[in-house]
Amino acid sequence: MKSICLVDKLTWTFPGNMNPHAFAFGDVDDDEDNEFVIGNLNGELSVFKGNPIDGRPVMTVIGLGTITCVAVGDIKNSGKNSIVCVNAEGECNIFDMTKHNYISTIEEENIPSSTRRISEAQAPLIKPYVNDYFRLTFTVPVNCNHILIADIDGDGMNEIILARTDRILDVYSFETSLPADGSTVNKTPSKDQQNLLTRSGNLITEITANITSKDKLNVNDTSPTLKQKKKWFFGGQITSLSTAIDPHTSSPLLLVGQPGGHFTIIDKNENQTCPTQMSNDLQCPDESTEVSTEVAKGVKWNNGKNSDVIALVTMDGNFTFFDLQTSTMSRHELQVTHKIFGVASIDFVRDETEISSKERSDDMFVACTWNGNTYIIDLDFNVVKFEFEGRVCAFAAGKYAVTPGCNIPCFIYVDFEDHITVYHNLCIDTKPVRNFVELMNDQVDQKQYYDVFTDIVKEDIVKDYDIEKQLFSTDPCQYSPYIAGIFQQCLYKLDSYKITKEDLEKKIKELKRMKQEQIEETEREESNEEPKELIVENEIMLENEIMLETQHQENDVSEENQEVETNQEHNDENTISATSDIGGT
Amino acid sequence: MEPQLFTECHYSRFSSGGRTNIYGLALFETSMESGLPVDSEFPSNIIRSFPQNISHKLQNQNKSKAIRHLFVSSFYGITCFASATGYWNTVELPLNQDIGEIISMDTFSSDQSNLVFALTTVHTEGDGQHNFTLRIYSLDDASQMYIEEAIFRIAEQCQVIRIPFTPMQLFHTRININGESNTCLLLCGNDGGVHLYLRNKSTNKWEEEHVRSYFPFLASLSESSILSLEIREIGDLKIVAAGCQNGRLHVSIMKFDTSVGDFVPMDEPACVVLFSPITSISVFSSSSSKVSPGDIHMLVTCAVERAIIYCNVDKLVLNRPVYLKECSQYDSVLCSNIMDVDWDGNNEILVGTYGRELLVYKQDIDHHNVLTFKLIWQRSFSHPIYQIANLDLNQDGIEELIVATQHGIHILQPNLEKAKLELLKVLEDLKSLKNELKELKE
Repeated sequence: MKSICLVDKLTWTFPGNMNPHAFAFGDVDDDEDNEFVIGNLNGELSVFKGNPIDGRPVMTVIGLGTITCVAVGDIKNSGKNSIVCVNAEGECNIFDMTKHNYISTIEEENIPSSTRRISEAQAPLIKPYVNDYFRLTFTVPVNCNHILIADIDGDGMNEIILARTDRILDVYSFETSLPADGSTVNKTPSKDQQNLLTRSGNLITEITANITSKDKLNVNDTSPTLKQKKKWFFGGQITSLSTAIDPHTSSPLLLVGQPGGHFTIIDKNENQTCPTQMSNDLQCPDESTEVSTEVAKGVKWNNGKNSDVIALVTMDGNFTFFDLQTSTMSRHELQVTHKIFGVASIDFVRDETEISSKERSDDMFVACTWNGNTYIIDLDFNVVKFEFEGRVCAFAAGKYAVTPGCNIPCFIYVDFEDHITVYHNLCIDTKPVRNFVELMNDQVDQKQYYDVFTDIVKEDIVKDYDIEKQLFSTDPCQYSPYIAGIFQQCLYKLDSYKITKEDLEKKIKELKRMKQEQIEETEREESNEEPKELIVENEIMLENEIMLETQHQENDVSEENQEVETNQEHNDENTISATSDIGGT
Repeated sequence: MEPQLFTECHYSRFSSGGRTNIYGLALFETSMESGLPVDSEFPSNIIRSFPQNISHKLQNQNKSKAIRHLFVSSFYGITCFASATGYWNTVELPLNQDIGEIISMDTFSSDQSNLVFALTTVHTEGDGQHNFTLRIYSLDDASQMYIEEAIFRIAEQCQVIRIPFTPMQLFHTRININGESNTCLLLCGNDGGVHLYLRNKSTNKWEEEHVRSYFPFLASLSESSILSLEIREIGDLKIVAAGCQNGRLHVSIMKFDTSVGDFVPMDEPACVVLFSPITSISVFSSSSSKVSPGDIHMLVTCAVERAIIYCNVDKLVLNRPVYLKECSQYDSVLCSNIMDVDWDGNNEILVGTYGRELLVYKQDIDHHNVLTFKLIWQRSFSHPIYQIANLDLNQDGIEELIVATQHGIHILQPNLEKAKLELLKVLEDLKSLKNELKELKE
């Protein structure tokens, strides 16, 4: 296993203990830059934006109860993201932020008395109180510990999925009713969805927004509600929630983590499958039932097409990849000394626009243990380890905009000392330690270069080169160090390479010189006997001969002889012998 | 600025709170090779006990091939990175636990020993008194051993020499004794002297000898504390330099005199005051070629100022310093290294700082035709950089860059794709020369 060191980091301040899932990455203020939202058990919800010099959040809301889960998403289906924050007491707070919000809240000096007490205790920490104008509060079941915002029924509208500690999963949709015309739903569900609603025997409840006193929304116009759409019961504790795309139908799938490395897939038609439990008894949980399972979805690229791969990670280090395209599973056991709790998928492409889909690399999975050991795993189970120094309260991996205009992959560690450490500029290569000889082997037509090597080798490095050569060609993996030695000589332009090259150049020069001398010599010799020009002359003569023959039929022979002889008079003495030849014929 | 010259391929953290310092790294050149196969957990596997699965000697071995292994000391232990073909093995040297904290380390082979391993340690007594010792481990007749085997064997016995001063850098060099070349061990101390140790051929014990007999120049220095030492032979020249705690830099240039059969000083030793402790000295040649080394320069790093290159030190001595400006932005410069990072046959200069920055400079000629050094690459690390080295750790023909930071060793590989293109170009070049020769012969 390779190990790496991460260097570039930011340090933020955030107080208190937290639920390990009470955070989210997302663009909360509609500027296309991702922010990081985090909530603690003391009811403080903070938004971190960019690279704050003081390491403090751009916004903090207090008094939100025991925050258990946080999500960022377009729950209103309006094209604008909201922050959804759920507490253990059954309260769901929804905040809508804009860039303008931050400024207005910073300017607001009138901090309510209820918050003053806490602000004094955490004096340097609390940034101005968020204006209630942007806040909606709904009542949801108590003890929710996982949240997901996604369109799980394929109607193009996002739902809020809430998992309770009592093994119940609730699905809500955000509705804005229009009392004027008496309609309770302002968006007509698709036919598909209507069928579903009637088939579902679960109790559908509507929760009306508890609009806070400061809210300036016109209640007469719109009265937002959270409408319960679905309710499912599970055999085991819901340990994780995720979504994926069915590669065959391109419709959404909801993934629900179940203990012991299992998960349930719920498709848009509510069909449930448990791919990991097919071999086991579906109803009978096995001995590893108590082991919590994290589910994460990653993207696999194949010839420019992508499909989803699901990673199931148990806290004792069992990794299972489930390929939705092929429905195949692969397993790997990671030797961990501490329990794994944070799992995420991440793609390390910094700028998506720069890379064509054909060159896209697969997503990688990241898992973190309580003691800070972080494992980055690719789809071939190559693992790279990073050791974060300190105990970890929560771990997040996702894309965050450290500088405006660029969402980059980040690892975020929340420790028990009120600090958040953000690692960015992540350059992680999961492939095993690379080997130059093997790299060259793939590229070089070996035979082509053996001759080149031979000169260098025979003179300097090894005498029994032929044996080495044999070894190298039969089993390139068991390469000989001498090949590496030659590479080193050539690449670093070391002395034996230089000597070989100079020797070659000298030999060439010498040979060229010799050849030149030879040519000059032969020329001199030839000039005494039979010069080169003669050949050319002979050819002309031959042509002339043919011409002569044709002419012969028309003209007098003596005339022609005269003609030839007059031509020859201009030539030097060498041609005389040729003329005499012709004269002979 | 060039794209990534090097990328980290592995980080090996010292076990249980170990830390290294500026004297904690040594390269060991030997014919002893690794005898263990690649581990499934490579490169994070660590060998902590005598390896039982050591393989038998292969046929057709060329014993004359020199292999370089890496040794690094952390306070309480030594880690060896034994290079092998395509991988390396990390071995933790089993040292007696009560030796105290390691200050400096050196490792080399001599005529008598295949592996000599020298350590200086400090042991703090109950009353707060520091006891300093020099420990020398020697392993003779080990030419048939594998390096992993040798490491475990050498730890079995050691010679302990008590020293009455605080030890600094350990250094080995070859000296001429009655026409015979011998390896001696040099130890800098806070008593202002350099101490020389030689192995007595009859008793096989290492004994301190007068440094005056071999290095009158070093013996003549009366300094508070010598922090760093450099002795380099290039061609027929030998350059001896010593850097002190008080910032004094001493240098002596010697030339081989055939009539004497040894190096003799060319001139009076030179000295310059740099006002801050000198952390490292590297004498280097502009070309990586041993046959035609080119110009000889001396790189000096010190705690406060910028790193300095004394150009043509053999001719101009300390009269032409060139400053590496950028490195002063990153706290004290602690270490330096010389290697060819871009495969052009010329040496580049690497410096590492307490401010966690590695900087690479390349030789250049400015428009006045004067030698300058241009910053071509830099990289941050998570902790202060104490040592830099280069060796082909996985024996694939490419030199890995080793950066020792406070808590561990970073192994960085150059851009192999770039190396491939460069090598193909060179091979193509050789091939066309060969073809030309062939055609000419026909």
